Amino acid sequence: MHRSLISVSDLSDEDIFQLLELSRVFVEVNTREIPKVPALRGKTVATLFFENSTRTRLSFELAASRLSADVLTFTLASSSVSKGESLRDTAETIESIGADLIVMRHWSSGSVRLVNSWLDIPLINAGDGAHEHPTQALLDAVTLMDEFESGNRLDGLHIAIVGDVLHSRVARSNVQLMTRLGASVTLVGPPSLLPADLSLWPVKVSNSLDEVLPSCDVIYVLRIQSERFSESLMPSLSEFSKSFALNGARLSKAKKDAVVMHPGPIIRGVEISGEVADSPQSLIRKQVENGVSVRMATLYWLLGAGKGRLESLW
Amino acid sequence: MVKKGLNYVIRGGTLVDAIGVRRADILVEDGLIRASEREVKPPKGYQEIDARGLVVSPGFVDLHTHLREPGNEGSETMFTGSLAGISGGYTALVAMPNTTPTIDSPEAVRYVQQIAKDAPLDIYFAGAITKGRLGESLTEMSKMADLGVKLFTDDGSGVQDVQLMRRALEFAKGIGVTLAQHCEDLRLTNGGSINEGAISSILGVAGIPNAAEDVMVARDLELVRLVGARLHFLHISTAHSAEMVKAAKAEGLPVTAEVTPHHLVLSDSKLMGFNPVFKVNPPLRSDTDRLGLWRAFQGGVFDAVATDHAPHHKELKDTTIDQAAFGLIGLQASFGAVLGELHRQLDLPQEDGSFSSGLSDEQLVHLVSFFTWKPARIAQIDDIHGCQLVAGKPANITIFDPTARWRLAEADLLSKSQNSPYFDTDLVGKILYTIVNGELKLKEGELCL
Repeated sequence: MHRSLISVSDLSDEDIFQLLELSRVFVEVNTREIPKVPALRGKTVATLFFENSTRTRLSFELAASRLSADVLTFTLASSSVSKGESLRDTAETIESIGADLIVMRHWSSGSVRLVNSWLDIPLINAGDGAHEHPTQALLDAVTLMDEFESGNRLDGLHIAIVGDVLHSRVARSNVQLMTRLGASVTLVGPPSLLPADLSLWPVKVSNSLDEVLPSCDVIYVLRIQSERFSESLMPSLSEFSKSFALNGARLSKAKKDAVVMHPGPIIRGVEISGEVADSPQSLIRKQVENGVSVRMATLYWLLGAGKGRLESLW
Repeated sequence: MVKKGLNYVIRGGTLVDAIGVRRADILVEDGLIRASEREVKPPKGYQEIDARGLVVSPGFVDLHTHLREPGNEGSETMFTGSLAGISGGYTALVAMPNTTPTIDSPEAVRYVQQIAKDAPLDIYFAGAITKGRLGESLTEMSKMADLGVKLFTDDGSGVQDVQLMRRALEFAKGIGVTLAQHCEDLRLTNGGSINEGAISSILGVAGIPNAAEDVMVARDLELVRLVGARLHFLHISTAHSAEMVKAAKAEGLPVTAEVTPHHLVLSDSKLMGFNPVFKVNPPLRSDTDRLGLWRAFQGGVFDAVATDHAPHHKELKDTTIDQAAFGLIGLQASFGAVLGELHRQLDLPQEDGSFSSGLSDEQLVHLVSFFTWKPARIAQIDDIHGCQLVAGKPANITIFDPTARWRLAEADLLSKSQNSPYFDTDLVGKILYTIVNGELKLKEGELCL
């Protein structure tokens, strides 16, 4: 089977190390006056997004452009899917057109692995349902390592992941990667927004943000997926906000140097206050910035001449 | 139906039926068992089936088969489903009514019975409890009962409306038929695809909690207590539901229950790769539940192993886990899967050993009963299938090698669909002969129609 990036659990420690190292190389590239390298000239990267996305798709497309790859954009609204084409036929068509790699997002958990089993080209999972979003976890790790100057590790950090964990692919990828890199993770949310059985997760669980905050180094706030609330998962958004929104008063209970993260898009006033999102403790902008470098790294890792060997980069 | 001129002897086999275990020959003449004795001396010219080292049992009865005809012949037909059944040792199948159209009227029953006449084994039909299986109004059960329908179910879903279920039980009681419930509260299922638990939580796939089944089992037990009608529980998948059935039986309530081979053999860890073949309803549960079902199975809580054979053509399965159809096929490998698991549970030696490969006579009778006379009784066909192997009974007989170890390959499938979950499972017990009303349909493991 060809190599792809679908789940953090597929990555070996060596893979993770390579991707982190590559990401740093591209962080440097992105500080150059002309942040573009010819590493993937002649390659074609297709973005296949069945769900709406702004930052992830733009981030991947910019990453591909900066590696000199050609970019094909697929969006659901203008596609044959609306004419009844199956997922398999859509994916195989994009491969046949000549894509060398597909960046895919889909609302169904497991969909990217399924498409990967049908195709002979690498895929990058840009979010499959509530399953995984591995490039988000990688960019979060790079952001934290940079912030805490902790090399390639996150040892000793206590990270609270707060909010709608049940529907969050970001949480599923981050829990795996952050704990493998040495951090301890506490999931915080109301029981209706936590997965049913967390016995296989290397985490602690709490229903009280106020209790967890004083020991946190990192407060990772998840987006509230308000479209889910019709199922009575919460009585109202403000009922959620009352206990779980990160506002200035709450943040003051955390460690002084605690940092705040969010995968975006943020809903100001619901899960996070504008004051916190814009505070110096917020790494939200930094996450987005690192996203481009990390996505350049993953594209290069899968498509580059040396399949990830650093010395072959230039 | 008695077939003239089909005369032969089954020589040297070990008979296993409701009487027990014994060595005897069987003389078959004109579709009936003429004699079953220590040594039968047949008239000259009779063929012989050499059954030495083999088990001779009543033909298998599946209480729960989806044959997809009419309406979904791309996935299965009565004929192709019958071939899979014969290969799996079945002489009788009870077809579920969730076809298109639904089998919910005397006209529909007549129509499917007409098609089934040409099938190479006996197909019986369950009728729907509610029209169109919509859960809104009762079907004309007594008219269908007059045509021979003994079992009624909305399988595919349960009757959600508790008042309607009460009335259905009362009506069924009055005409002497049995209702069979697919226990699932759809509000608790809430669009889930796999078992809700540790695996669904990791995968981020919407889950179906045990409680979706348990609450309806509990509800229906109260209705049985209220009405006093017979009720059969289809495909019990949770250990707690099995416990409730056990307690109800101890109390004397007129309930029966079936378990599927896949819930006994497979658990939701099979879903870790998102393989839609393992998406089935009720879902494969946790290993804790699976082992609870085993204890119930070995403790005699269940009355039948039923396949819930649910064929789906490739396109219905070759998609994402939330979109893929529920269901898997089971007729060909059901016995091998259960006996294979029994070997693992009893920790029997893995090489071929003595005749019964380590099973005691009691264990052998216990195992065979779930495939034969017990389901035949529930289907009320025990005058034709699952009978004792004695003179005068219809020759519906299955002969298997209890020690043979094998694997099912996709190329061996006789069903029109390929959604078997057993390609990686060690199977024990190979069906070699299937005899339907005296006619040899499977010979040395090969179809002979």
